[in-house]
Amino acid sequence: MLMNADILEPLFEQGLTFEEFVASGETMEQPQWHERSGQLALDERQQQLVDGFQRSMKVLCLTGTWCGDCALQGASLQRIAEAAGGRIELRFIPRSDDFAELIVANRINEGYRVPVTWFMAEDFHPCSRIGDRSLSRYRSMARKALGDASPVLAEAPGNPVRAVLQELLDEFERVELLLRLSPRLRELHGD
Amino acid sequence: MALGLRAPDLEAAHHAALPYEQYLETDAEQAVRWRDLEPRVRLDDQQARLVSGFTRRMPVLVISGIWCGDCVRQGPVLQRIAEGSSCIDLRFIDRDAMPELVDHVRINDGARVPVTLFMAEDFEPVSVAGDRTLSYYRHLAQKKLGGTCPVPGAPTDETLLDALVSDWLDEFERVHLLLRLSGRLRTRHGD
Repeated sequence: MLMNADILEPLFEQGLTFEEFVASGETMEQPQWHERSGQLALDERQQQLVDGFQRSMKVLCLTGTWCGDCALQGASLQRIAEAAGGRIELRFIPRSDDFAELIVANRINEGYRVPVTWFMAEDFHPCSRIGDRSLSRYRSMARKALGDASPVLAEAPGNPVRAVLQELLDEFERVELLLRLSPRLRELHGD
Repeated sequence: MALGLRAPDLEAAHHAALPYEQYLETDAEQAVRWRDLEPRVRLDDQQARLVSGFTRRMPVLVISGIWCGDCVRQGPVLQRIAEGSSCIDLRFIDRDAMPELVDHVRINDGARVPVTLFMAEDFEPVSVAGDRTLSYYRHLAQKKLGGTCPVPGAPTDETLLDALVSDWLDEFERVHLLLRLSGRLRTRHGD
């Protein structure tokens, strides 16, 4: 489920940057990615948090240019990576036959779901895998799909798009702290 | 090592694992620390209502070490959540009992515990979480930016326990909604 560095490093090297990935999609698919990006600039408090990150981190997102949830999460990941000024390297790979082995090995609930994102240490050792949708997105879907039968008790967020940004930022922070407190990396960096 | 974990692998591991009470019986001396924490772990009314509303069966497997401070602090939290719903089938397995399973979920090049695997009713993999939640990492970072596995007997304040319940409950809720809204499971259950 988490894979390992030997698998993830070559996949990361084959991955595309955000702009390259979006450009690889159909013309009609590209605007949603740019539109989301425009909605997802980090606020001052979020930027301050990312400014404090000290460890390098690789992030690989298995995704699809056609997928709305992928655009939302992908643009969020990109905004956070941009804010980190080079400490976070982000790559995207498509859910295509070229990556069939990875896709099959990472089915979620028996489905080839996307996005699936791996957070790795600087040397590609995996730390976390998330996907497909975040909690706030599932709550929103449940309210719509199940109506009165929805089991959701939480209030809807004021801004559902930025709620996803915050959820992803929480995971970046968690992995940063995991890496910052890691004995092997503290020894490596003498901190 | 095969790429990825499949449902038969997870089903076998879940069947080999033990419910909470039986797991603690494997080492009465270490279990004292888990027992000490139990009465202090609580779900508030809304959290209890949320969990009692779960309708999808959800096997959950914790790869754990009964000696491990992080497991001492998080295991009773997971158990308290599981007690709130008959849909959650929570089991614990020792990290050293099934090394081939642990190879799939190494975190930052370490066989860290706890690692929690969430599955659908037919053991299809859904999510993997661990080793520590964001609140726990913030707590550790704030404390001293150091240490590895905390001393099992070290005090755990109530605020942290409440935060751990909230962190873990979010993932239980996310997985439950994923399963509740799953097309294949809605077809199977006619809901």
